[in-house]
Amino acid sequence: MSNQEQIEHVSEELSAYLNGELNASDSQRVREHLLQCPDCRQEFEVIRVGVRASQELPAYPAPEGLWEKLEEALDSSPSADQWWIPQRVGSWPLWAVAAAVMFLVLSSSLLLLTLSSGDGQMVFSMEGTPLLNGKPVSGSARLAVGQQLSTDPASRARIELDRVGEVIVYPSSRIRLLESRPAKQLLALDVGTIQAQISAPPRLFFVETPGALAVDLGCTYQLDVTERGDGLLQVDLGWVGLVRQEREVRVPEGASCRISRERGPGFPYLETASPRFLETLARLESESPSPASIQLLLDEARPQDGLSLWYLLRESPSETRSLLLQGLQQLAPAPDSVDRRELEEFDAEALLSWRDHLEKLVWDDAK
Amino acid sequence: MMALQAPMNEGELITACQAGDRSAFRMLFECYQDRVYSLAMNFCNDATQAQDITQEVFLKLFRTIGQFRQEASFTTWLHRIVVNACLNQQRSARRWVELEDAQPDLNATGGGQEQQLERRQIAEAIGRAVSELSPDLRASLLLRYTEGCSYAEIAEALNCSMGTVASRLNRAHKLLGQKLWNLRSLVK
Repeated sequence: MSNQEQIEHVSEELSAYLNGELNASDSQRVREHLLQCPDCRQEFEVIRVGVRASQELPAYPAPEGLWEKLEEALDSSPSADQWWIPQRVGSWPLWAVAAAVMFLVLSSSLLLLTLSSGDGQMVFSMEGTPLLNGKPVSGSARLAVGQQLSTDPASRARIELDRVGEVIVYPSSRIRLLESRPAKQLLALDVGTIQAQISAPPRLFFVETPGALAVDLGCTYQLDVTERGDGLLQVDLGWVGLVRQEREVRVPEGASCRISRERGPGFPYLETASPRFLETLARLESESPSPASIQLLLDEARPQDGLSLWYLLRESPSETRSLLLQGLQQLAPAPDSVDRRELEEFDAEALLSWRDHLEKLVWDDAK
Repeated sequence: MMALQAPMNEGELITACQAGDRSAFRMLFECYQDRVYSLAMNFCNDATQAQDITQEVFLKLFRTIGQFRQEASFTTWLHRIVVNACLNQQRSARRWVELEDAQPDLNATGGGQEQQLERRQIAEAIGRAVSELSPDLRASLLLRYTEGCSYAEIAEALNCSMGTVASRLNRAHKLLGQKLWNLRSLVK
């Protein structure tokens, strides 16, 4: 039996993987297989497009006047007198009928109120006294859409996101719940620190910060926002996307990324990189790279730092692009399946395949 | 299930419906009409058919609610009625065309014209692609994405195994991914 035949491919499990329906060990197995198997990875990319398209399916509100048509149909139904006449009311005393009607009116009003106020999410105080729209939370409370949760230096709270995961709100933080519906849970982190542990399908949980939108891609991560509005993302598991207008940075497990209030996401990096590398990379988030700074980065970089350089390459001006491209090719060459000429032509698909390979190096470093 | 999380007083409302109270039916209709219509609309991609399905669903619901036992999940029961109504409608219309299981052109760059599509046009493209899936694939997909059902909940509503649900969703995603591959950079 050849090696190829012995490989257990995961193509049949990719939807369940992306939908968070696999247990932890199966997810890990699929993830590791994807890192090694180009066939399954290609299938994964196709299925991921299908999943993302499905997540964009719209909700259509019912048009006006449906009840009137329905009532008409019910009244003209031959069995209308059977289904709609109460079966037992004749044997009830009058006071019981009145009480039942009153109960129904009250409970129906309550039901409508419940439905119209949105689902919201449960908040639990973990330490001290967090404030929900300025009111103390002792024990638990419901955070509704539009409401704000804040913690002082001595308090901490946990938000349970039904079927999505949980968010810990650390001291001196302020968050708001902007949307809460099955296809989208959106928080705003105005200031402070949260830790999110998400088990829902990718691209369902989002956190808005002043500099970028953090898009969960199946992960555990910590997000900090300063009083000024700058931020820092640290990913412990999986991936997180940082999006600002048309620009998206995908931060893999083990990596971090700064977020500037003015410029959006910076370059993902590993904390284990050399101090000179990190210092120079941070500087280039706000400055155009010079050949000298590119050379310094290349001298200091390890193969697993290649992902940082890939993002820098994507935004590099033409003067430094070929230097960076050549250096990165030597440091962490693209897989053989990627056409070198296409890389030199800056072909988007070739670049993305290279990025996938560089992410694997980051992943290996995190392990 | 988050999408159809039962309101606190749903049980009382159903009891009132079972006792034949029309105001309670109205209330139940108000609670679920958007979900039913949205499922139907995504299923058939046609507003007139979606209205017909919605009406059929509630007629069936009101006529048979006396048979509903409250220990079961009302939303699962409702899902079954909606899916059956959609499948019946499709059987009579026979409008879908199974997508070809062709390999996507992974070298395609997206195409300049397609890159220019507005979000509305992308949504239309997705709607068309979904409506071209076979009804079984479509039902699983829509329960997952418009109702937020887990695989177990879909299996219960469609009376099949979780393995079947997983297989149908995998196939549906793959077909959609192939069909919409050229829009991949625009599908966020």
